[in-house]
Amino acid sequence: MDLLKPEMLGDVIINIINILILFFVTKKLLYQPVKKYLTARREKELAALTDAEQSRAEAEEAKARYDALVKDAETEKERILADAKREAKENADEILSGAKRSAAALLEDAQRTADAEKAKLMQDAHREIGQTAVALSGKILGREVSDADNRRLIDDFFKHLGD
Amino acid sequence: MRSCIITVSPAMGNETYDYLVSRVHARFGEDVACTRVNDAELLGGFYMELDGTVYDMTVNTRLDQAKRAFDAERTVDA
Repeated sequence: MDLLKPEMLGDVIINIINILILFFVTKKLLYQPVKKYLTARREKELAALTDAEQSRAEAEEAKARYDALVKDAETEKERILADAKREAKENADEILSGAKRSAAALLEDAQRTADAEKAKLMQDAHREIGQTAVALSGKILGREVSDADNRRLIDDFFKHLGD
Repeated sequence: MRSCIITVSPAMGNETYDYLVSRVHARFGEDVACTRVNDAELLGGFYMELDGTVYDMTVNTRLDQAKRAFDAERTVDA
């Protein structure tokens, strides 16, 4: 217990006082400003963090709006394409149907005309054959009708009269 | 006495004509006086006018009937 000797106690007390003075001075001149600086820096960092968070939220919101717009545009694009395809197909089908109907009508007309022509030719040919046959018959009969043939005609006549 | 005009082809023989006249008498009576008329256009058969009635048994008429029937048939078919 050398520290408790009277000649040492003075030094101790002075040292203690020095330490206290140093403590308070350090506290006043160093600790508090540093604390103040650190507090300000922390608040600044918090503010920056808050701003960053807010910016991130705004960016995400903007991205979500952008994505929604892109999706809408894609949907609209698909709808327009589908409409255009459907309209093109309908037009093509209508044109094809019209062409088929026209072709069928033309074919039918041509068939009717051909049938009429054929019927007329047949009729003319048949009439001509008939007339030729009758004319030939006349020529043949003019040479070949015999008395026996005439007798048969006479008998047929009176048989028909109910002789 | 009733009059009968029978038109025949000149090619018809007298025997055939007499046969015709005999059949006329048998059918219509002996009081029918038949007169023969030759028509070179006739192919065969005879044409008789008696008591206002005309009897046509000519081959020409038969051919015309056949021709008309033929034409009528083709018209119907058309």
